[in-house]
Amino acid sequence: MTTASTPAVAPRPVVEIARLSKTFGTGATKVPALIDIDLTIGTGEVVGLIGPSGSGKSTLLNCIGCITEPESGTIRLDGRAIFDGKWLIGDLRRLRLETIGFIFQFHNLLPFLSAWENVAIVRTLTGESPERAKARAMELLGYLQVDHRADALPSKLSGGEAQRVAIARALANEPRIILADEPTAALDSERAAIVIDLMKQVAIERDAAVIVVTHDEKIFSRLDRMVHLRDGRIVEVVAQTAS
Amino acid sequence: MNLAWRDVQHGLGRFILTCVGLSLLLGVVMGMVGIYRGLVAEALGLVRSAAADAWVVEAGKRGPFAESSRLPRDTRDAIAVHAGVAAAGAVVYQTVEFPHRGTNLRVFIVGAQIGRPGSEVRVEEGRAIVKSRSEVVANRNAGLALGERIRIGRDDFTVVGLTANATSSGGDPVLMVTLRDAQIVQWQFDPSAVRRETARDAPAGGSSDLVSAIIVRMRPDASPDGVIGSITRWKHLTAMTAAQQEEILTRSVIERARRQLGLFAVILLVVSTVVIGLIVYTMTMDKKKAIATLKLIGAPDRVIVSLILQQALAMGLVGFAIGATLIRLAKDYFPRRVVLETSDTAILLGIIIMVCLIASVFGVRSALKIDPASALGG
Repeated sequence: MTTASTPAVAPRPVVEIARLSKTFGTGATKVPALIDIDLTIGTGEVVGLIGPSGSGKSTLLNCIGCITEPESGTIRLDGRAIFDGKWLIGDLRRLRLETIGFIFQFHNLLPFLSAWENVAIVRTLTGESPERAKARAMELLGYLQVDHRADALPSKLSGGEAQRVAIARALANEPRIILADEPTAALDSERAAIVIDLMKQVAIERDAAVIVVTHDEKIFSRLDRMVHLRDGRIVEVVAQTAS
Repeated sequence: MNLAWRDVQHGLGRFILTCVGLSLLLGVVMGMVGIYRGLVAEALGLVRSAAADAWVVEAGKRGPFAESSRLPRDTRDAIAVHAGVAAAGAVVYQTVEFPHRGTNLRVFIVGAQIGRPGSEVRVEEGRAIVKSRSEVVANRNAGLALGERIRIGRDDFTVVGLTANATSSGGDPVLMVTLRDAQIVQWQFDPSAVRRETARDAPAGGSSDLVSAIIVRMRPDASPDGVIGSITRWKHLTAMTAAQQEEILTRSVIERARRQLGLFAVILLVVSTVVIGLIVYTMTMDKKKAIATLKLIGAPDRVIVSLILQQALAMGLVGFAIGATLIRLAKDYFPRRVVLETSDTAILLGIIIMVCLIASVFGVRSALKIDPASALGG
């Protein structure tokens, strides 16, 4: 079943993956995690990677996030060739800093930094002055309507507030790709819907692509596309029109 | 923003407790160095306070501190008129114990000839000895009071003055008396022993007009080597310079103690390194998730290494500062002198900085091995 949506402007590809494969282990313990994955994701899209445990969702996310090195295939991020049988970029951490934003299941905010500092640190890592980084962080927290909690430590934030701060951090460097690993697993239905809608809004307004690994059925209807994986292969792609 | 500082602030109580624990360890290291310096100061204090240009002792002996030495007192008269000698004074040194306020008080008695080399003493309270018998100037740590009457041997003495920092190489307080009094304490036999020896037609103990050493001060125009050489030509005497006397004391009397304390200080430094290493490692492991997140969002290794090193250095420096303060407050309560020299403190500070850097190696290594992917998932 494939239902195609019709965007007003054709999305520009941000993530382009071709014949991507990855195997873990050697010899008798060799396990194929990804087999000939082809996937293109454009700006403004929120794409869900869905599948049972061991289907290869997290491996695919890690490959796109330049955390796990694939074995073969190609990856292009924001028009730039990143992988072609080997990494083509020397400083992958810098690439992550400038191109990719991460959102985690349990927000993973640094516990010793306040909400605004957790956002600002991403900017300061690129060499921006502390004053400008703070101003940018406050702007993002305002955008995500959590600026009133800017000085609170993560331990003092509610689950929803913490996840909003985490989204603000993922957006801090204006990344073209946002990778979210089970971002709603720790949230109730209402908050989960808010978070996904927020990510969708971010994808559209900021011309970014959002890739979400999820098991959470309650958010499926809010995704633009659902990529079903099983045993390392894409078995189905379901595109949905906006409701 | 400084990540190390923010992390410390976040767990301030734990950080302070860790620093206090470390400070006790570093305080002990500083204390060991201070005890060693105190040992040297005590050992050499007596030699230096004599302000001798040369020491004359019994032939073949390395006395009067490293081993015993006996000379007839009138040897001083012969040396005093020797060419190049400005002044000479006979001294007697002896460790004694006497009953005092229900316990035994151990002291180092210095007997000197009033007005001659060896008798000068810096009296802090009371006065110097002016009478030829029965007066004593005591060091404060003997616990004697001004005007107090004490009994040493068969004679009574009055404390007429108090000094500070006058101790023997063993740390015993110095009691200064006249040469005659010291000779009596050292050589005088009990009357019953004298009667027995007289009955046997043998004089009790032989001559009692003996001294331990003769302190020599030379004329400004005299050649020390020449004077010492000519005195040594008298076969029954050995003469040595003040530097040689200090060398003997350092080598013979305090060398083993110095090595013992030095080895113990080194062991404590090694223990400190291990402790700091373990603390840094534990602190790093506690931040494993945060470090993985930092790596994932793109923080370079230098940010993570700097976080760990800064915390290790902060811990070492704060621990050092608290330790130094504690030992300075406590040093006067030690039974023996503790001398804390600025140069030792500076050297130890440098060592602690090195120790912190070395101890951080395991923490840094483990931090650099953390997989950024571990930040993903639960």
